This record gives sequence, C-alpha cells and structure tokens, in this order.
Amino acid sequence: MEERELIERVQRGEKDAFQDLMAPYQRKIYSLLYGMVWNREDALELTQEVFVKAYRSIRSFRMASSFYTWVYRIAVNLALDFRRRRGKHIEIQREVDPPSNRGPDSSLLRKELNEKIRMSMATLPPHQRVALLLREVEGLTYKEIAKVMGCRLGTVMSRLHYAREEMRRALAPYLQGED
Amino acid sequence: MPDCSRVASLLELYVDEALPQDEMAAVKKHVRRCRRCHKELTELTALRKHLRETVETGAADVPLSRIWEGVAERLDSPTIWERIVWAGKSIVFPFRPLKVLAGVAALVVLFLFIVPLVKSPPTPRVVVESVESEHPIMIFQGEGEIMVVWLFEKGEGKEGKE
Repeated sequence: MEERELIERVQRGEKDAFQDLMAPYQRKIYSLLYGMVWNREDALELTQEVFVKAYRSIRSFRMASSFYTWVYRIAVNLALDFRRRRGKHIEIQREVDPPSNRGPDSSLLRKELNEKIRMSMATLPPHQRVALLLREVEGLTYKEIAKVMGCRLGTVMSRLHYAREEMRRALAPYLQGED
Repeated sequence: MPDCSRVASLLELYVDEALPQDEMAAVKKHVRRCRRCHKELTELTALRKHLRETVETGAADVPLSRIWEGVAERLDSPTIWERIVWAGKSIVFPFRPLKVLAGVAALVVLFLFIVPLVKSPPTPRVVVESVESEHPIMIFQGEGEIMVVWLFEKGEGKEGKE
C-alpha cells in the first residue's frame, strides 16, 4: 500500500494503518534518537513519544511536504526538548558490545573507539549533533536537513563543518592511517 | 586542475556528493594524486563509517515491538491533558494553527477599525443651560463644553417657531 494512502487512512482515524505507515521509519527514528541521547531506554521512550505525537498531529500533515522529513522534524524537536529538560545530566550508557570475530585487539580498539565517539558526540552542541547524525547516519541531503531543522542551507553546512572538525580533532588517533 | 587549498574547501561537499558533476570529477582526480587531500578525504570517510557503526551497533538489539507496546498503550488510554489538547485540535481542524491565528487577527482588525466607521456618530447630548426671560437669548451647552448661543426674534418664540 502506498504511503499516501496510509496517511489518508490514519487521518481518517484508522489506528491500524498507523503501524504500517511508521514501519519503514521506526529503526531510523530510534537510531537518530539513540545518537542524540546515547541511552537505549531514553531513546526508546523518546521514539514512543515521537510516534504518539505523529499520530496525534497527523491531521495537520499536508501531502505537499514529504512525510519522513515531517516525522524527523518531530523527532529532532523532541530530542532537543529532552536535552533541554535534562540539561547536562544525560547518562551515557556503557554498551555491551556484541562478540567480535576480528580478534581481541580489533575488538578492544572498536570498543574504545565506540566509547570515544559517544563521549565526543556528547560534547557537541545539540544542533551540530543533529546535523551530523542526519547527514552521516541517516544520509539526508543538505536540503532535507534544512527542512527537518527549520534552518537555511548555509546553516546546515556550517553546523556540519564545525561538528566534523570537532569530531576529527577528538578522534584523530583513530582516523589517521585508515585507508 | 584545482589547487590543494581549493580542494580542501570542497572535500566535505565532495563527501556529501553536493558538488556539480564536473567539480566532483575534478576533486576526484586531484585526490588521487595529492597525498594531503587524500588523507583529509580518508579521515572524513572514516569518521562517517565509525559514527554510523557506533550508532547502528548501539541501536541494533532493541526489539522494535517494545516501541509499539508503549505507543499502543498511550494511544488507547490518553491522559486527561492529551484528551483536552486533542479535542482542541479536532475543533480547530481542518485549519492550521497559523491560519486560525491569522483569522483571529483579521477579526480583531475588523472590529477595531471597520466597526467604528460603520457605527453612527453619537447624538450630542444638549442641555439647556439657561433661558433669559428678559432678553431673546437661549444658551445651550453640549458635551465638550461647547457653548451655543441662539438668538431669535421676540415674536417667533411665542409662536413656537424656531
């Protein structure tokens, strides 16, 4: 069934169609939120909040814009609100890494790098972090990011540039020598 | 062939595939031969790869069914506040909040500027201050302290003509 049709059904109040509509986005939204808060439970709760909010406000959605940028926009706004509410007291969860078949050294290095990435991301200003995640993880174009974040293309490019610069500085020992 | 400083400023756009095709090709050609720019490019692509891996690994093992458990629960039993907000939105529907706001603003403007123009001017309240019985003079006072002195012929008043 086409997305447009699903949206219309949900707008008419068919709750069952909502799960089908959101299915392609659930993992993406969860990943984005996880990258914002680095805590699985918080990301899960935020994802639920995004879905509830999307359901409640879907009647205001106009077909002229794309649905996924609309959903991403809800997710980004909620994540930024969450950060504002929590301030700097966001608990970054230590991950239990999946078993690796690359040997103890590479597994250890990978774990160390994961930790370093999480810590470095946590120090980025929230808007830079969102831009970086939308581009590097979600693969959105500059134009799409601008729509989601409600800013100009130039702002997206500058946020991305500063975020990358900071991340490259923090991860320099891990990034150099890769080929 | 562009120089290094120019290519360095284009590398992020190159990685993001946001350059026109001819510039993409020029940067690609330069990077193949320039060690410095090649290193920069490698770092940018490595950052993307590691960031993606870290986020995807961390987010991978959460069962998506858990998302829906919470969502279904909240959709089936909304809080009182959610009910109020939802009811409000239903009333406003199909208008968007901005349109509603614009409509209210237009109504206010209409009320403030148009209505006073249409409204008939108030009838002035006129009070007879005094009648001089000795002389043919009547003195009126309206609102705003305007004094009106009306003179008439002695015979006219008695006949009831003004």
